[in-house]
Amino acid sequence: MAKRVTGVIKLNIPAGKGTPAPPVGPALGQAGVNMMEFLKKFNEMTAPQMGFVLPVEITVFEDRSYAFVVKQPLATDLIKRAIGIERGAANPKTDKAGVISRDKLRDVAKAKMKDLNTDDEEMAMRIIAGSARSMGVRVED
Amino acid sequence: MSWIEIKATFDHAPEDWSPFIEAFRDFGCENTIQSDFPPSLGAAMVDVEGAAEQIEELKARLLELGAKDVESAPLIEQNWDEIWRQHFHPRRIGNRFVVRPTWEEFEAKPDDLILVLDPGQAFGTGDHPTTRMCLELMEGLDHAGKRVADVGCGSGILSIAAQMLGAAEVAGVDIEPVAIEVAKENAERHGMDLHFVAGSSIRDLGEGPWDIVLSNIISATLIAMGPSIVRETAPGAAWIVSGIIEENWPDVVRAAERLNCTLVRDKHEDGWVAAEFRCP
Repeated sequence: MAKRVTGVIKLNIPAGKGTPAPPVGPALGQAGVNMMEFLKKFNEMTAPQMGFVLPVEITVFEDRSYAFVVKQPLATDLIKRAIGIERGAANPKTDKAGVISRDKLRDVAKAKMKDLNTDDEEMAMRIIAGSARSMGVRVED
Repeated sequence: MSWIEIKATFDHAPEDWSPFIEAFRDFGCENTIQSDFPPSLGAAMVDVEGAAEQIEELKARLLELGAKDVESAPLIEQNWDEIWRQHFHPRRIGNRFVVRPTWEEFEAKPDDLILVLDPGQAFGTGDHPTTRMCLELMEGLDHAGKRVADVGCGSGILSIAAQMLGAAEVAGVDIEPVAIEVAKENAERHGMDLHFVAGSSIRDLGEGPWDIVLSNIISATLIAMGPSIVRETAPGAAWIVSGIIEENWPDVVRAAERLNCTLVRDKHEDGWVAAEFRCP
């Protein structure tokens, strides 16, 4: 019989470098998850993606066992990698951090599509373009 | 250390959360927690001087990005690990080791080696296959009179075990300062005076050569540290590795072979691999 789910926890954690610092420790502890065991597995699995922050969804069962899924890196991280910048603009209204081509925007949108609640590529591109603008990255016309 | 909790709430869940997560990151909050109903994104900042100004700046940034409201409040200190602690019981590992949490009793047999642990916020409860397999591999090694280095010592469990097995000298290093504190407490509890230091390399432990190296870390770090470990070991030293998932095992073997290490034994359990190599 399937085990009853008692909670779903959504966290964003640096790949390969997860620590129990709040809010991770309190959230997992309160759900009864052995946090150090989880973090060890997360770090080992995600070490190759070091530098990215990864969304991870943890499903907790009634016997305190758990399962987790690591999602695609943040869209902002994928944008940064696509155009080779370290970080976005601190003040995106006035500062510019770079320019992204439509093709590269499409690649990011495709990679993130599963996590974006849409299967429409144009829609996904519009969402990612918004994220790009929020970090001072202009989308090429 | 006290923390301040910061939570952004939204009218509707953002289509893409990453700009908000990014804003938290820019202010040093690497970890965030997300909720869909009602939509919110939370993080915590260490309460140091200047934190209040930082939080004000972060709030402004989040509101500008489209958050409905941003609240901050001191994080109430709790024992986060309290709940799963209730399920951490004494357990036998290998032939002689028994790991017992500080808060539980255990009736030992004469030959038993009892590791009494308070794992706190450090890796290594003995409850995990990576630690368990390490201890099992260690049991098969003659520690008497040996110098042992524990790289990535976490709670200090392996260092303490090495001392119990008769090591002449044991030293452990870990990148997490909190782990060093926990390890020192755990060693004191066993009446042991072990050398633990915060650092990122076997070289932080002082002069080699070491006769046994224990390293229960992640495979990427194992591979990166391999050359320095081999340099700091005596010829024929034993190198126990753990914390490796099956997918990464071939990479570790290749890296060890490049360093002229020979695989002596390997153990596989629940998707994890631990092994003993012989150094050149």
